[in-house]
Amino acid sequence: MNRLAFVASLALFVAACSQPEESETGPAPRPVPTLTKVVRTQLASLAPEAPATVAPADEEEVRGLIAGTQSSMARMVTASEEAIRELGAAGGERLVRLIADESIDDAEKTGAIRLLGALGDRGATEALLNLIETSEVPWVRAHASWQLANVTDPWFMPRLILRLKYEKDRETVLWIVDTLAKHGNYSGATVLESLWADENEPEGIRTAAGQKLAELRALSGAPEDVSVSSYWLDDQVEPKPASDAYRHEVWRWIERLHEYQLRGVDDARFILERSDRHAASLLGRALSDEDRYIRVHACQCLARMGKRARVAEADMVTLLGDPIAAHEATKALGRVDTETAEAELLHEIQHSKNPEVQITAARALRWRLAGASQTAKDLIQGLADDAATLPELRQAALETSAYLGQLDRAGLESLVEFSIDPMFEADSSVRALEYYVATNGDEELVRAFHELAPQGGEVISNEERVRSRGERASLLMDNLDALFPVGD
Amino acid sequence: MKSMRLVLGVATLAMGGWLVFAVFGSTGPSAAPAQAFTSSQQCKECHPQVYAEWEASPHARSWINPRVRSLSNDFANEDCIACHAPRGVFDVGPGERMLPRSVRRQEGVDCLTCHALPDGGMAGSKSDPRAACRPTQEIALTRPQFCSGCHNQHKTVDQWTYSKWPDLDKDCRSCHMPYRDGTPESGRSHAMPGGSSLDFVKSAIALSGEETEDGWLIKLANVGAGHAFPTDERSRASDVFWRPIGDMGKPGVDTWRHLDRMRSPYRTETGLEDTLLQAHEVRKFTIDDPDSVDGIEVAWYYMRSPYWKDPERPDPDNEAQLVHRLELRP
Repeated sequence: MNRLAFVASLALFVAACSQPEESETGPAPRPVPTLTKVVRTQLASLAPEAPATVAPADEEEVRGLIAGTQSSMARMVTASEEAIRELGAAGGERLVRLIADESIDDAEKTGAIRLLGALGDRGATEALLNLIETSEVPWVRAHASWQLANVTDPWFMPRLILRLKYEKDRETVLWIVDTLAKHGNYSGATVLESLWADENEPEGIRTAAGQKLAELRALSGAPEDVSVSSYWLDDQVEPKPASDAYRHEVWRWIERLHEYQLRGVDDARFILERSDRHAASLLGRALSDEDRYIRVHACQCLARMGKRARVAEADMVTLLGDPIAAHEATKALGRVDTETAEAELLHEIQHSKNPEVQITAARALRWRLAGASQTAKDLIQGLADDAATLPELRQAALETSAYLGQLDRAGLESLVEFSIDPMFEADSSVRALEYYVATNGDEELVRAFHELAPQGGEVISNEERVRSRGERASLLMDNLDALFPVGD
Repeated sequence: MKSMRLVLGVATLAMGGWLVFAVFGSTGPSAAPAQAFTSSQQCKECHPQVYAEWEASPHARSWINPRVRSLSNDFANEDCIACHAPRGVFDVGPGERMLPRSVRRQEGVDCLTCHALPDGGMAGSKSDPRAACRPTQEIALTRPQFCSGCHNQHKTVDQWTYSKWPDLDKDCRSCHMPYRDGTPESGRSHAMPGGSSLDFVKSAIALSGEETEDGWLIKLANVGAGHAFPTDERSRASDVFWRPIGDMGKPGVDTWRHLDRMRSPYRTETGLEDTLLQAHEVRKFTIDDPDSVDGIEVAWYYMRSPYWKDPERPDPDNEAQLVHRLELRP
């Protein structure tokens, strides 16, 4: 310690005294949301009454009705269906036993499944679902899926959606998709589109998928120039009214978002993100649940629901005040793609004290694409241009610039650098570059850039990945003059 | 002016006091300037050995591991992110399920995942107010429950709980974070070996056999893993093959005969049973085959991808790692 240190300290102190008082405090932080036992309360209030136990109806009588379904006369079939409805739960109970009876032949089982669909009460629907979930016989699963289309209250939809994840038999999948669509859910369209496009699938399955896809298009009203899956994701399909039983079933799956083991959570996410606008609304309410895992995972579901999640926009905004779930809410807000959501994202970029939220918000603006406001574009441009910006935030801003169509030459060079810098997560930058090249490059550049993507086998080594990124980066740098002609 | 003079007077006195303390009051090394930590890179300067161990470990590669990237479709399956780029364990609380982070994901399961505290501080095995990170002792850091947020997703910690190991005072750190030279003074290694280390796998299981009246008795034993073998990942599998002694040296794909498989199936693989070799379990097989009279060769393989390229003709010599091998002759 010496005189110099003393003088320096004194100088620092005087300098501190002379600083004007900081007057800029910024807006007040977002209030922490009020959290309650939302899910538990809803489950209790909507719980369906347990069905009464009934004795099965007379076997001979029910087998007679099954025989009626095999008649070539339509009125005989109709009469059998009406008769089973008159027998009610007792008839359903007998049908379940007959289907489980190994001595009953396939034709009779088919008739029994048909009558379960015609009966359509809670017990019959449960029996059909059990067949879809547990039967080892594909045609039984396919028939049961088909018959669910006749059930008037589609409370079972979440469980049927889950079969899209586990069902291996292609024909059964087609019937599941068909029944979902008849009840107003077009989430199976992506499955049909994949089957139709997959040249490795048997020709019969591809043809059937194409036919079903045409039926779904007609049913949904999707125009020819839009894929049915996009039409569904863009919330262009008006959902059918939802019953309390359906809402209860949705809440039951939302409750599973809390589970410790991922299996239950993954199943719930799979279902909920493919569900309709009613489910999105309930997910929005779940964002106020006191369980943080429910809040975070509900947000993740909403983020994958596209514009169907707009009904939950206000709930997402409220969640921005939750330190645990704010960055997930930020992501979900990006996907709903509205002016309100954009304004909230801009606010987070400018005022959030959490860099993770700022970065996520900057990335989330990419979904605005051509719809982005000039204010948003200017803010993103400013962050991208400023070398003093927190590097990860600058990287996010550069990526978003690429999606918003405002990446300049210097910006592209910086983004390329981020895509090969091992200190930064490169994937999102590479994807942004791919988007940029696809929308700005000429045919030859697009082809060359695509060909340099990793083309290895199932497992791509890190060396191969790094080499590919390097080569793609070099290709872009070599084409800068073509991408940004002098004078432009 | 008067008040300014007063302020300067007080300041000068304070400076004087500080000067006296600085010159005469300091006896040991001074505290490093406190830092805010946003990346594990910042830990490297003070903890080069720990950092180097971690950097070469599976934890550091959890985001960039090619197999993980392949299985998760480059993390398009976002559900994998919670454990492969997690937020801090202390953010959610030890033992609770992890939550995903959106930044620094290339650092994988990093220093901050385990050591960062929600208030910006650092957790350590002991407190040190002079270190730049000012660690405070957090005993939770040393408990098996601390690992369970990720590693109990596949019941690994539960498997340990139900084994004899807790009674023998052996926990996760005993094997996966041993003392560097066997003494507490040397600190614990952060290399955290596991299924990616063949030596480690070798020490976990034992293969033995003998001739009996009924044929060749083969014993597969989980002798060293504190949990089932293999554990944690559905993508891991272990298989045992045998062949007549006369086939030794011939191409394995043509000669090996399958004896047993240890694996926990993915949830979509309906119809497959969980066949993991539980902690302390000894599994016995008797081989009584006309081809085995002159003796047999038995080999135990381990693989980090559960599928054979051709399920009808498994080729363990080229698709799996040999862990143990045994020749039995009359």
